[in-house]
Amino acid sequence: MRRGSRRLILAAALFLATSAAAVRCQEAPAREPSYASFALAQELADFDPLEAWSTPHQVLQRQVYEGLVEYRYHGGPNDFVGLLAESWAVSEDGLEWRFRLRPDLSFYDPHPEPLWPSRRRPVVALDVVESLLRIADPRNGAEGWFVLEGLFEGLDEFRDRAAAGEEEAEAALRAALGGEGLPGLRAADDRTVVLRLTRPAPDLLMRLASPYCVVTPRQAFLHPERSLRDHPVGSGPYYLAEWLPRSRAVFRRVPGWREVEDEHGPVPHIDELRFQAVLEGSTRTLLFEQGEIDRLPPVQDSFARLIDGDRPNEELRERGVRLLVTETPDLSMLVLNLDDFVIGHLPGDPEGNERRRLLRQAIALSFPYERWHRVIRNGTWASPARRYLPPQLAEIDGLPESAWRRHDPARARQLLAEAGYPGGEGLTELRLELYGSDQATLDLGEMMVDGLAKVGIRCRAVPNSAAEYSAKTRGGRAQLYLWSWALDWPDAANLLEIFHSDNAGGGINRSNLNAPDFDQAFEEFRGLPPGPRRQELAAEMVRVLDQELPIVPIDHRRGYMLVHPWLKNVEVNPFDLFPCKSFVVEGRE
Amino acid sequence: MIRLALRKLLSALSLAVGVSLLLFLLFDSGLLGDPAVREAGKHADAEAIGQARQRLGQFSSYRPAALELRLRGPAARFTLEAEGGDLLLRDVRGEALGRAGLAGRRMEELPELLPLPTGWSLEMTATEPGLPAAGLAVALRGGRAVLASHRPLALGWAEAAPAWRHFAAQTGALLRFDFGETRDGRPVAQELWTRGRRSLALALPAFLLTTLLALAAALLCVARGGWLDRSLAWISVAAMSVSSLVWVMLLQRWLGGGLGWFPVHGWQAPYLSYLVLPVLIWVVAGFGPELRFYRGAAFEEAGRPYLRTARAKGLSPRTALRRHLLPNLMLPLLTQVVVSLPFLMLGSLLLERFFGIPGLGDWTVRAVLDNDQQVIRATTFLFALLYLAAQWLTDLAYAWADPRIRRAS
Repeated sequence: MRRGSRRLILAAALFLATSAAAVRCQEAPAREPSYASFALAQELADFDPLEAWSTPHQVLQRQVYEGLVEYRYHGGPNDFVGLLAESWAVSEDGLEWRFRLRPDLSFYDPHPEPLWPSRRRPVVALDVVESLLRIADPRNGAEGWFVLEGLFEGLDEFRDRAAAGEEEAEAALRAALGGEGLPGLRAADDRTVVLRLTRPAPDLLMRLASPYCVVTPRQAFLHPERSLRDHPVGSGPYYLAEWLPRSRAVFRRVPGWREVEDEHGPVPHIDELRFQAVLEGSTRTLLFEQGEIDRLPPVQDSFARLIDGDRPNEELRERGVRLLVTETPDLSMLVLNLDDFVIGHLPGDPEGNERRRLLRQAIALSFPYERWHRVIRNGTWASPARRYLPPQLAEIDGLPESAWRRHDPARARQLLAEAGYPGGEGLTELRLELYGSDQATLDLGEMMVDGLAKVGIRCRAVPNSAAEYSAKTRGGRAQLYLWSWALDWPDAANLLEIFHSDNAGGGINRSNLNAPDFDQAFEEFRGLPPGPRRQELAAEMVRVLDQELPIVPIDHRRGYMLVHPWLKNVEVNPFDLFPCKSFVVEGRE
Repeated sequence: MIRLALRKLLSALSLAVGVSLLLFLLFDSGLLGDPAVREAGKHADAEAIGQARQRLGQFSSYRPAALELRLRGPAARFTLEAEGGDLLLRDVRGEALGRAGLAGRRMEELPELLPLPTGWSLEMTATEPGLPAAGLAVALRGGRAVLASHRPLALGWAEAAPAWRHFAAQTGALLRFDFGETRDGRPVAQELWTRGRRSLALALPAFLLTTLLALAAALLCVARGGWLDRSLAWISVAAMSVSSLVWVMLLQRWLGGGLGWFPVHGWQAPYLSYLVLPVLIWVVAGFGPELRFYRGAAFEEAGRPYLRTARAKGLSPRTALRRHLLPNLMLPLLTQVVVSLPFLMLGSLLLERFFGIPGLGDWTVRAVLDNDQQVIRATTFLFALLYLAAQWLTDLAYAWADPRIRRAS
């Protein structure tokens, strides 16, 4: 090469290099990708929405999948906004719901061999129908069937037909997806989903916002070689970027996700979400103290060290850590089995039933509520349940307090005598079933047995394995035991259904209450929107509960969450866990 | 030689069948709870449980609504239960009102079989006539159905898979190393392989390091004696007195949290950085007992006449240790090492749990708690095989280490 040419090339290279440097100097400095880091106390679950029953399932799937509607962030428990749906309309009789989908929805597939060349495919109304049918198809064994059961015209019949065998199931599915589709669940056009109900359901939006009713493309859940379990394909703001089953999941923002904004700017606000399973409480605490995870529900062992009254301890406060306290929408209760011949309600024996009712009242009044709250709940981990419903529900206003949820040994003794057992004489030994056999459980049993003994009721606490406990309580063989029910959505019917006689005998009605008055009121109640009539019916059901005393309400648990100062805009909604698209990270240390 | 190999193979096979039988009896007896009830979940009704039984292979066929019943009479209810192949009607006190023998009957014959108290009537519609009525008792299986006057009841029908066929299928699968799927639908064999490697990545270096250090310290105790021996013995007792849990929490908090030298938790590339602290804790917690064992064995050998003879013939203490004591220590050493090998595969429950290493230890314990039968079956079977293999290895190693055994065999 000639010297001149060499010089020319050198000059050109120099020019290009300096120009590139100059351009780089003019560009704004690249923004450091933001991330949030969370630890869950259980192993991370996988991504098939058919199995969305546990907290890890719901937390992880929430980042990837979307349903028709969602709870409004910072809104009330009955405040919903569209997610896949842009709008919806309800017919006058409350039976037909038409959901109009947003025009800018698409699934995103991050797999190396994507389902579609562009990795994307628009979400259409048929995807919603197919996803809900997938829950109803008995071959899939979906946990979430209870959300849809008995509600959509033709859906239960579809399920019954599909249960007859593989060929029948395929035929039922073809019929439900072809032609007119099911009357209660169909796609009117690409953007309109029509749901026709068998009865008015004011809780329909709550049901549709549940983690089970999310929409996935059939190409993903019917794929012969890969499963949704490990390869989620959804329309949500994040995609699964790294996945170590059960241990670690990293989500990244979907490139070019639809244009949605809130008061903090374009949603989602965080580029990367990191979740890991940290099973040991002490390790989670250590990681939080080191700033490696952004929020921490304090475990019981370190609670006293980390929490000072209703705020974080001084050291955490100095670091700007906040404490969020939420009331958990649940009810812990003492169940009194009404099928039991010592304490229950038996047909054709009015006199005996009256005596047994007095006995149940005596048991309720001898429960050591204060001691329970102080010792078992540490005085802070729950709030006493004066009524049968959790305080978040609209129907709680004006409901009378339970007459029997108080510690009154003197009255209990009197009732016991009226029941024909003065000082407990003539009463056989009762059995309190315990869940577990560890020392803490035995102590708990001893506390309750002591309370009963003080009024003269002899009782034996019986330790059980999980299997024995489940068999006894489901099979109606347990006399007295502790149980709690967490609401799936913020509707009183979701709790009150545990007293309906349809659910007795092995179902969720563990007390086996069989009260036609209650059933009748409940059936009307569940179809009504909030209002005076609903309130009236709630009061009627509570009256029956207080009269028959199938359970004694004990308390509602409380959730505590410590949050580092850099994680902002955090709200804890027990029905919408980790809606991370609304979280903001600023000023991470 | 062929005969020996055949004998070993036969013993392995009998062990495999034995383990399979044990597991079958354990699960089938319901000692660990009813897996179908657990699988069906919080909102499960009789139908969901029946379907779970079919998925688990307890039922070879299941119809959720084979018989529809409608009770008419005063407002109350009864329960229907299966007992000894009969259908039993009880009132809510539990008193039996009537019994229908189902053997040899068809579904459509049932209305004549079930007696009712006066004032009651019962309509029955068999949706699939022709099926043997005994299937109703099979579907009820320990549960009960509530028959109330205000609503119709659908009873399921099922055909149970015969126990011997269930057992043969399970044993055959185990022998083919076909371990099936975990409760959450992952292939057990693949999980065993992936998790086993992670457990070994923690356990193998930690075990080798502990063994080598303890062996070296034991030899040092014998060679030097005096204050060094006393100090090491004291250290080993002190280390043993502290619970492993305390070592784990203390060193994790101090070296990981306080000093920040190591990551506290996690499993991602570079994996080595996540392994150093757990390995160190294993060595600290395991050194005491290992040293006690090797020191005891070494002192026992050191007191033998052959070593005194070697020293009397003029060998230096170091040469006597190297040439005579060390080879004779091989037998207890091999026993200890080879017997420990299967346990290494299971890793360390505590360390894996505290440091978030997704290995076999925590997985196995979790499977027991969750009653994940396939995982329990696979790990028990594999552990039995590994133990057997370890015993064979011990036999071979003895023959290699001890000329007397070699000559005798």
